[in-house]
Amino acid sequence: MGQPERIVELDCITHIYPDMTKVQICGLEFIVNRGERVGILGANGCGKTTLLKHLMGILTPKEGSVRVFGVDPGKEFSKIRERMGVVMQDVDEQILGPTVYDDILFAPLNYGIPKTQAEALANDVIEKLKIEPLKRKIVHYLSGGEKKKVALAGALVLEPDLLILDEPFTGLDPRSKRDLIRTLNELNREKRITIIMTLHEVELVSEVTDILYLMHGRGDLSERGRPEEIFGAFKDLERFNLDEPILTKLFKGLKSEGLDFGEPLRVDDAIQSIKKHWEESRK
Amino acid sequence: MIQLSYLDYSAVEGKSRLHRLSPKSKMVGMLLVLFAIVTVKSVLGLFLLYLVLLALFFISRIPMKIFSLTLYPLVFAFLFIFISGFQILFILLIFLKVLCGSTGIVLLLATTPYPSIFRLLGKFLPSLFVTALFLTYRSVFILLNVLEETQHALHLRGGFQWRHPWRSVTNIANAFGHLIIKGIESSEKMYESMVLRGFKNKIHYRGE
Repeated sequence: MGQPERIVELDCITHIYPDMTKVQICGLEFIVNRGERVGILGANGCGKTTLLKHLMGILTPKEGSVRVFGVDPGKEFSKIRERMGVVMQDVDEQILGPTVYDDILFAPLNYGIPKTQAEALANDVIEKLKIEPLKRKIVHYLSGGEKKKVALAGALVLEPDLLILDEPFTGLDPRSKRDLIRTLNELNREKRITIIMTLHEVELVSEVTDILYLMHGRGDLSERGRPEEIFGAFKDLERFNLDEPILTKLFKGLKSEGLDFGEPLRVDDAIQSIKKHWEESRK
Repeated sequence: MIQLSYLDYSAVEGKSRLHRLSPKSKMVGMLLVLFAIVTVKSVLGLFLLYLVLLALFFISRIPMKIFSLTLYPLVFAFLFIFISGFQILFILLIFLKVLCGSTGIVLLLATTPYPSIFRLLGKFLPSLFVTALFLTYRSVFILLNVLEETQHALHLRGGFQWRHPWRSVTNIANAFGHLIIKGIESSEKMYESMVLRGFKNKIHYRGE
């Protein structure tokens, strides 16, 4: 098996904001390979968005290095921007067209794709995200959740290789969260889109990420692992303002009572684990 | 706010002849209207121009809710009542000039999607200026939301009280400061988004 293709490499960067707040994203090297779904968890203000902005080339580090698709996004962003889709935390400022349809067409038309082809791409993504009822709506009057879906459609319309999402689940109702998880996983599976996202929803982590980074302080990247490794073995989640997922708490509790069903993170896995143990105990 | 969104809706979804006319022709028409406003000195001439514009407004099936937008500039025209020394003809002339101007602009905006207007402007104005106009237009909607939220916050947290006028004025001034900062921040973020989504100093739109 060959080496996985590296999409993102970020090594110990320092950024100083105009108010002199210094964010040093250091500790572990931040590496993302093609096709991975990477989550970044951490307290508010720990530097998650700063990290993402460096990947997007919006911020340039004072020290350290960032490589996305092998180039420095701060200097050569134009070389890679077509391969990148972004949904920011505040989607209001990301929506630019007068209607949903126009907004989704913004990127294809501005990249010089012919109108008919651009419209076909827009219609595809509208269908995929099931937002046909919103197509003709004026963007100013969409709800927060609807705007998030439209922003996601705008990011996905060019079928990017890398999707960067800053707290994509914030403000979505449970059904919309489910739909978004399903869509992201389908895209990752079918098109091998690499996904990097920041999030706070520990319950969703195992469903949308393969690799998890934990950040604390002002940019300290201190843990990297699979979600089950992080939540199963790691004891110090409070340092990151994080709680254990409810299933982890439940199964750790059962284990301490002598009922070891493992430590599943997903409901499906939990059902299977309990079923297996139940059947074994009946034999 | 609601009327502004109707403006967008009408521009994008309208199917009348005026909607289908090229943005360039409409812009030329608007310039002719402005030229007439500046040069025509007779009340009758301006009245006829206003009638033509009104006819176009109704023929184009522009939502009636937008019509009130054409009347707002009259507020400023009222100042001329005092300056004129209450001369009826002068007042009528000023009112008609204002109404022709505002109706012409609303007609243009209600029949032409704003990216098309900005794209056209971009052909003879510096791109930096046009981009700034585009960002300003979109920011207006974001800022109106912020203004509404700030108003509510001021009201709910006792920031505005008739009993304490000085304190209230200070709070309102602070709120405006917040609004300006938010506006600048929004424009910066919008520009970043535009760049991330392929903007290269020129706005493209499907209606071109």
